Amino acid sequence: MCVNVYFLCHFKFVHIYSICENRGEKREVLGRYRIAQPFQGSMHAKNTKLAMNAPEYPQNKILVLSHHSHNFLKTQLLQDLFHCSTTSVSIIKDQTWENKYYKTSFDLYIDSFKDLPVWIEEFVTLECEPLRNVMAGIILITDNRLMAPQELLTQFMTSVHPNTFIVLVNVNKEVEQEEIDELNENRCSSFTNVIEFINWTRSKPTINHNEYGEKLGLDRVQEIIDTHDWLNCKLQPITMIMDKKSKDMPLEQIIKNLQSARIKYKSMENSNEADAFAEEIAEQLSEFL
Amino acid sequence: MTQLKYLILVSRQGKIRLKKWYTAMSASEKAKIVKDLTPTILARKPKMCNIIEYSDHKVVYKRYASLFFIVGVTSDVDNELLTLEVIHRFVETMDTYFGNVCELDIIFNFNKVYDILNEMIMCDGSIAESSRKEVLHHVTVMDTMESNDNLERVLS
Repeated sequence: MCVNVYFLCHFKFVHIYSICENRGEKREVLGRYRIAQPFQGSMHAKNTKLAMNAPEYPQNKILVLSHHSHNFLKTQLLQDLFHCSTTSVSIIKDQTWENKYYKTSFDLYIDSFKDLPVWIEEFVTLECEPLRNVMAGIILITDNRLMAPQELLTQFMTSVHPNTFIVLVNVNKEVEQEEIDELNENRCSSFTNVIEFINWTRSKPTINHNEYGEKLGLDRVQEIIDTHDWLNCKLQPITMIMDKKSKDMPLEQIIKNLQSARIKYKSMENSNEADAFAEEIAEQLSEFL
Repeated sequence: MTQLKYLILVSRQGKIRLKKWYTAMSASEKAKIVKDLTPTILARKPKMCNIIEYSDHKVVYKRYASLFFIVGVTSDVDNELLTLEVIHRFVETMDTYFGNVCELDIIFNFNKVYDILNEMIMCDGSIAESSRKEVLHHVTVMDTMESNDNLERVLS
């Protein structure tokens, strides 16, 4: 794993940095954590417990992980899902995500492994805890014929943050959707995290919905990201964005228009026409409210 | 005669999206029902029966996309198949209101979802209105009144 985590203690906070081994100069601030207890005496472990559950840090990183041999497929997935054109880097900052309700941004962490158990072993270590805690989600690209990632889930799940979603994307064309559905049905329901197995091959068009009308493939991954509970992240409502776009009319002008509309409304003799006019004005005004 | 006890809307991941209680229950009883039913229903296979017995009553559930609609019914009073129809009518109404409703619509418009539900089912758990057209009309009227309130606030 190329992402290492370093701590820098400063007053009552710990600043956490990650440095990519293969890009030594790259420094990424993962977050600022309030220390649960103030520094008293020696830096004993008890005193340096981080209040990870405290709503202090934004959970705004998504890790996209694959085997070395699946790097090309990973690039395709990044393009299809996140519209990323540059995939040669390990970290893509401020990736914008937008749906019909909100707009947010997160960082994409891209990594690959040779041996998944070894990677997970390293990922679940204590020193990676700050990294795990800022992970909104992990997208793991796998070949279900070569490995059974569901067996590694238990080890994975005991260490990741309860709000982190995990999506296991199968890229083997031979795996049928029924097999993936079975995996989803059989997965242990005791986990609090969102865990889903997805079937995806770019060249093979998949059916968009299953028997329940649920989305499949990358559409489902998109839905998981959409419905994710973005902890401590800024979600900009789309209506607000639209408001900003339509704010080319000054406030004085809006009030003038309102006053003239009011006069016109009162002067209208036909009540039906007046009501229709009022509704039209209300619709126009709602864009500025 | 329908006398629902509660309606819970749970995502496939066990996240509660909506809760409505039609009988008086303590907070601990409510928590127990949610805690017991969520894993039980999520673990059920697609071809299993949609009606299960739980505690002193029956539970009817139906899955739509990634959402499970769970309804507690009174055993001797309610018809389970009719309850399935009530769930379906609720989904249909939401579908028409939002235009192909999805989980995200329910998360960001939960107040509207409660409005639709309140128009369909009374506070004692009996059906108030079965007509989708009527329910939608009432909700649209509420939307218009809200919009007019905003207009009046600006004009005043």
